[in-house]
Amino acid sequence: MASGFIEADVSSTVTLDDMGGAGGSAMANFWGIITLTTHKTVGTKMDFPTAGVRWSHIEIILDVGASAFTSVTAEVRVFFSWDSAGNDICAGPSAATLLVPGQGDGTRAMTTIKLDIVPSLPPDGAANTVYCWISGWGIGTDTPELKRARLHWHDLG
Amino acid sequence: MASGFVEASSVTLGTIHTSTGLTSYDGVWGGNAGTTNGVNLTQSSSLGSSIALPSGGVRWSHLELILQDNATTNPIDHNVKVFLSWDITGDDICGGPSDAANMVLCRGTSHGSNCFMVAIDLDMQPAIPEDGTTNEVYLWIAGTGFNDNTPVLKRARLYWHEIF
Repeated sequence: MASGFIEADVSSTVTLDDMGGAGGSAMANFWGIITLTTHKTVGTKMDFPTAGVRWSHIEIILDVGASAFTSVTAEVRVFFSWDSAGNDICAGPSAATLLVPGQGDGTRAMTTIKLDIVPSLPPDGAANTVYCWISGWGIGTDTPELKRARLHWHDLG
Repeated sequence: MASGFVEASSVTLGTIHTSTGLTSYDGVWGGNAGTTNGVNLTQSSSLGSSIALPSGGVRWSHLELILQDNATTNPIDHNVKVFLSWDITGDDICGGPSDAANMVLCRGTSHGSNCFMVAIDLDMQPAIPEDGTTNEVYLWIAGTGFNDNTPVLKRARLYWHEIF
């Protein structure tokens, strides 16, 4: 029995696609893609179980730079897909979730989002890879830098 | 399978909102009497649970919170949000932010006068990453309806149990 996480590789700068973040107060149809996978050099290094696994939650940290991050109202939503094209949904879309500013680094906008689901890898999925799509508003930029995305899991034994 | 909690001892919080009695969330989060120092929740060898917080295979169940205001004005309007970070400076989030939770006035004075309390559901299963520290999680609080914008944290306990 094991637990761990898969995560985005941010060893080099990852700038998200247009996620609509500069918009002030409402969701638009813009979603940036984040590839989550098992890393052999960082993270837990454990393979992501294909079945008998609970997806607990995801940690997300964005770097919004010097943009006008609205810490009171900035929110994001996420959904997950088996495929990189974003046609085969496997989780979400989540409810809108508040972003909080980094307390030491004010350019950070961060949140966690609960999933609490138990999927099994289907034929249209790939081992160790899931795609997270993120949309937001009040962030001050359409294309923030991704600093962290970790999907925590544990097997069900 | 074990269960227990990590907790904080009594501490004055940093600013949890910008002005006294503010009734709407304003994006200000208080830690341990400063804006860049979270409240350390840790295993206590002298009080509470003396079992170490597991680094994996663990469910974080909920958080007990008791705060002391300096008056009971607005006794039904004290609300808090919380988030948790792996790091003391609060840049590496690991839980929350929660929805606003309404606090109730303590019915007695065993924690002192003007104390308010709430339990906040977490229900998550994190695995400790490289940026985390064994037995250490940091708590941040934003509040509304408080007469004192730097209340005293009288109790914070994060309950956990092993899942294997």
